[in-house]
Amino acid sequence: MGDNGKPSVGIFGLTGCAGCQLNILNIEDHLLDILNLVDITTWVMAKQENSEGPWDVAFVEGSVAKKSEIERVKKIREKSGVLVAIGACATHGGLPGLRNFRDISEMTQIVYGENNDHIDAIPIKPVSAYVDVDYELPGCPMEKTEFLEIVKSLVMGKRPYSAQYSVCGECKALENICLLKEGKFCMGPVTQAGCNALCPSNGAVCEGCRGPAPEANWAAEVKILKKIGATPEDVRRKFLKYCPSVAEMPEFKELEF
Amino acid sequence: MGTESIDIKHIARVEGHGSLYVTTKDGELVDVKMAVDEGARLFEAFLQGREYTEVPEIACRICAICSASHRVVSTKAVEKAMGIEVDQQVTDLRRLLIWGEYIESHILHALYLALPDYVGHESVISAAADFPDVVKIALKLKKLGNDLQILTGGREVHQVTPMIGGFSAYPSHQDLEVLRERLQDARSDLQVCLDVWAGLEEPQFERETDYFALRRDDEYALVGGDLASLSGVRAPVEDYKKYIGERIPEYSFAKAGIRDGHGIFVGALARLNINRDLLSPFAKSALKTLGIDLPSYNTFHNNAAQLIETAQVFDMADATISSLLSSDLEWHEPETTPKAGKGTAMTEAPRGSLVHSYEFNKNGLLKTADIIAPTTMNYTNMEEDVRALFPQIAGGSKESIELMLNRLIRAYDPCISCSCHVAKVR
Repeated sequence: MGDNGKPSVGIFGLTGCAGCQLNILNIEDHLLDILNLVDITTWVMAKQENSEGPWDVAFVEGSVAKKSEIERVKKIREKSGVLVAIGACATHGGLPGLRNFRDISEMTQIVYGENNDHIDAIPIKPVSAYVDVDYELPGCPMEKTEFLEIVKSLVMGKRPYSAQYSVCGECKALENICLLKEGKFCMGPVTQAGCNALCPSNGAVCEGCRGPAPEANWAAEVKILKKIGATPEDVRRKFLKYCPSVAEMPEFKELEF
Repeated sequence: MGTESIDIKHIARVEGHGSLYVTTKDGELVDVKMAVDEGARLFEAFLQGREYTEVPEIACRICAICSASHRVVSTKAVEKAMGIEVDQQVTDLRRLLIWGEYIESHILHALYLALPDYVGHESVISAAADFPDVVKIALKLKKLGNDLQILTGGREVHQVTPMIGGFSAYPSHQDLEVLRERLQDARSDLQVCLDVWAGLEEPQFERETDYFALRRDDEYALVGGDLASLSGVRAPVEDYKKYIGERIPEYSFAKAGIRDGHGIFVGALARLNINRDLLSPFAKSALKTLGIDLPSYNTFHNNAAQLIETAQVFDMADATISSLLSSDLEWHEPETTPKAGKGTAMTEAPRGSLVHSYEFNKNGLLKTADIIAPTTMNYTNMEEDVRALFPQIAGGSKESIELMLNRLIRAYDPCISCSCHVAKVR
C-alpha cells in the first residue's frame, strides 16, 4: 500500500510500440477514477518523478528483446506483489517476434550495417519466459475494458474474469457473417476471446493477436484454412504472427501442416 | 570544478526508452550523447518476404501513437509500388483517420506530457489536482481524436479496417454527422486550452536550424505534397535520400538524421514555419491567441505549434466530413493483384515527417524496406540544441539543468520506439 492507503502501482515498458501503455491513457472516461483507486508511483511514460518500488501491482508491457531486459524484468518481479503482463508482446512475444524465425545477426546487419557490435538483440520472448506472471491481458493492443476489469478486481481482492472460449463464439453471438465461409483466412476459431470479435465485426479477419483459446481444436482450423486455399506456410505464419511463443507449445509442435 | 557529467537515464514523459548524457569540464559543455536504449526492433528486416497485403498491418506496430500515420503511409507506398489507385471516399476516410490521430496525439503531448513542466508539476496526474478543468477538457479532446480514429479505423491504436485499396468497413452518414457535431462543440474546449497556454511562460531559446516538412499549394500539408524546407528546398518525396542523410551513433540503437553535416528539424514547428501562409481560419486565430511570430526558431514553441495545428485539423476534419457526407458511402471490397515494383510515400505524422519506401517482387512479397521516422530525423538536431541551450542554463543547479534538458528533449515529442528501427544502411 502507498502512504494514502491505496495500492501502489508501477507501469513499465519493455521493448514494444508503447501501445498498451497508450491504451491506459486512452481510457479517458475512467482515467481519473482509476487514479482515485490506485496510487501510480512509477510510470516513466507519464511521470517525471518515479519510485524505485516496491509496488503492490506491476503492469509490464513489451517483450524481452535484449539481454539487459532480462535483469530488468526480474527486478520488477522481485519488487512487485502482483505482476500483470499487458499486450501480446508481454504475453506471447508479439508481432516483432517475427524476427525469431530468421537469423538475428543477418537481420542486424541488414538494418545497421557492419558496425553493429553495440546492438544487443536476443530472440524475443514474453515476460513469462523469465519470471512468474500472475495475470495476462493479451491482444495487440490489450483491451481497455480488460485493463479496467483487472484494476477493479485487484483493488477489490477478487479474481479477474477471463473468457474461456474463442473469438469465434463472440463473433457468432454478434451474428456476423463468417469470414471463413467467404474464403478468408480467419483465426477466430482458435483465438482467445475478450475483444468482442473486433476485427471480424469490422470485416477484417481475426489475426490471432490474443493467442490460443483454451482447448481450441487447432487441427480443425488447419484443415479449414487448407481447404479454402492456404498453403502450409500460410497456416504456420498465421499461428505464429502475433504469438511466437506458440512455437514452443507441444500442441503446436504436434500439428501437421 | 573539473569534469562532471549529467546523466538523464530514461527521459520521462516520452514514448520509449532514451537517455541523455552530457559531459562538462569546468562548467563548459564538452560532450553530448543522446542514446536510444529501446531494444533494436529490426522491422525492415523481418518485413522482408511478407505479403504486400499485410505490410501496413505489420509496419504500423512500429509505433502506437503514430500507428495511423504509419498505417496510411505504408499503404500508400505499397499502392504506389503496385500502381493501385483509390477513389475520393477512400482518400477522405484516410484523411479523417489521420485528423483523428492528430487531435489525439497533439493533445496527449501538449497537454498531458508537456504542460506539467509549464505549471510546475511532475505529471498530468499531479497537475489534475490543481487544474481539474483543463485536465478534464484535455481528456475530452483526446477522446474525440480517438473516436474519429475508431469511426474510420475500427480502433484507436493499430487500426483494423484500412486495407490496400480501401477499407474493410465504412462509417455511416449518421455516425459522421454525430462526430461533426462533437467537433463543433469541442471548438470552445480547444479555445480554453489555447487561452490557458497563452498565459504560460515559454522558455527563451532561439537557434535557427534546417526545417523540413511536406508542402502542397492547395492546403496546409499534413498528407501528400512535396518535400520542402524553410530554406527553399522543394522536391518530390521520392528524392528524400538527397536531403535526409543519416549517421550511426555508436552509443545508440537508432540512426540520426543529418544534412550537410548538421541536424534537421521536423514536426509541428517545422510545418508551421514552412506552411504558415496556408493556415485555416481557426488555426490563424489560434496563432494570434498564442502570440507566436513565424517563422519561430524556438524549439519549445513546438508544443504550442501542436495546439495551433489541432485548430487547423478541426477545420480540415469539418471539410473532410462534408466531403464524405456528400458521397454515397456505398462500401465495396477492395480487390488488388500483386505486381513487382518500387514505391515511396512520405507523410507528416503528428511528430514529424515519416517515410516508407518499399520494393516488391512479382508475387507481391517485400524485397526491401526503408523506413525513416520523425525522431530519427530530429536526432542530430536534438543534440545540437542541447549544446546551444547549455550555456544559457549552466549557471543553475544540477536539478534545474536536468529539468530544462528534459523539457528541451520533450518539446520534440520524441517517439523513441519509432526511432530505433532505423533505415537500411547503404
